[in-house]
Amino acid sequence: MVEIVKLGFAPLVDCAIPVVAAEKGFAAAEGIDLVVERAPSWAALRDRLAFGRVDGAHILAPLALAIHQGIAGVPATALRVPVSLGLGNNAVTVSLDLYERMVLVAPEVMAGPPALRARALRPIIDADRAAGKPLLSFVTVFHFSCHHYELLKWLADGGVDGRSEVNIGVIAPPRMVESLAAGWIDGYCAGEPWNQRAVQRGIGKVVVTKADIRPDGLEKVLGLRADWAEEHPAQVAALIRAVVKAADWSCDPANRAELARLLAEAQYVGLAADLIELTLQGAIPAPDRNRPDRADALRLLSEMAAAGQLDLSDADRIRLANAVWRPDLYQEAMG
Amino acid sequence: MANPEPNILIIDGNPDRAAVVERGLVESGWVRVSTIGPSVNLLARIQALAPDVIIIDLENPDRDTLEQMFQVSRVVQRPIAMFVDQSDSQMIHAAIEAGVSAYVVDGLRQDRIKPIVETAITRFNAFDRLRRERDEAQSKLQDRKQVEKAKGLLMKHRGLPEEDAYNLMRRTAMKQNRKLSDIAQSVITAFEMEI
Repeated sequence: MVEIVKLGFAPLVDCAIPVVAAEKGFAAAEGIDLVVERAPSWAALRDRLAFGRVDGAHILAPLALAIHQGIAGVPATALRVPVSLGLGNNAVTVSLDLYERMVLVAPEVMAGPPALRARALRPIIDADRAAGKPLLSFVTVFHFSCHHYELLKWLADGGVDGRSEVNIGVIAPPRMVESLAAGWIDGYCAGEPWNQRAVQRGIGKVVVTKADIRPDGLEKVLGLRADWAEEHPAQVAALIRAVVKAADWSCDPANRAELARLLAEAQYVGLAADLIELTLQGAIPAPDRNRPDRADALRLLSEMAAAGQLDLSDADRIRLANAVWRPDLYQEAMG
Repeated sequence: MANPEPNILIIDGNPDRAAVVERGLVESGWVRVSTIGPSVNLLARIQALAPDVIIIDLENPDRDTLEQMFQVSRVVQRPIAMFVDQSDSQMIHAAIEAGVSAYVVDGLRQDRIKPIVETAITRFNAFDRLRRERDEAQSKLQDRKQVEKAKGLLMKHRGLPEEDAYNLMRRTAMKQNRKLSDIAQSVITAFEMEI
């Protein structure tokens, strides 16, 4: 009997892997009927996972840890991460106004390495504070996200405390560009195409990309409900194999145009195929990156702690990373 | 609480549904109810309204903004719980089924929140039912119009009396095991092609 496996995803280009596994027959070849279901927000995806509407999801890596630990706003739900899925291609975009101020106050910093450009914010923040102006406002895609930690790290490397010296909020990426244009925010950290959109419209400048902040940092994983995974070991193994084959297919430049057309469909990403094709480069990890690495989980946990989201001893962090990150499941499936 | 009446905010991209939920709450005795649609300055608008309870549709992308606001930001000082009480799983499932979620400022008493969320769930379900019924009624009306048009064509071009024209279509539908409206559509298409 063919088993139905339901996976949730958010409409971003790196949802390619589960979508390709379902659409290109990789799941069927492994004997599973993979159903992928689009969620309009990370909160909605988290709810579906925690309340058992889906068996697993293509999910932000830190969100998987947060759900397991019970700090994500829903009751603690044990998860298993048997595959790493995406590295992200995030960048920080600031408004033209803020960009011009940065260049004006610190031209030498802005001419230097992007990783240190937040130093140009220092005099701006000090001047604003002295003038009694409100804090600069940045947004990211979700608070349990690498985008959030990458923004914090970039600010910290420039000597700015992201937790007290600026506001960091959350806005759904499709609304970021208009929020920047309207002056509601001064900048954001998001994946593509949301940075290129602001640049193309002439309302923002990219000041730093993920490659400068944290190259090779894991961003998305396959998160499965532990109760489902334990009851369906054969399906879990089949799903891992299907997903890894789909990742392999998705990485192949020869398939890029077809992949862009597939993702452009309304039930997946729902944006123009040519825009998606441009942003696919670098968004999908090479297959050698699919095996979950507990070092990624530990690094994420220390970033969550630094962001004030988690308070765990080193021993508990290791326990948590070992419980959720499961290279053993990957190994068993791939042989 | 300084004010005994909880301040309720409905955020919904569908203004018709927002109106149905708002009316339900007001009719049940909550008077401080406001609604907002999709908005780029959501944070500022929420701050200005300072709600105690936010009702938002589950599919709304702005939920991520609320999550962050209520979990970690300095904007709203009081922590907020999602849904009413996480141990009340029956209500959570009813809410998910209905497509609604609620964010509640900590400090508002559980027994005061529950009926608000229950009313929202009832209204979301009622809106869904109304929409389904309206769609069905519209499609029935459309079917009837098709049958009338096909009957008129048969009467005019084949010289059949009204009853015979109708019976001809009905018999054909039964014989082919198809809906009367499908047969009517075929008749209309056939005549249109002849013209």
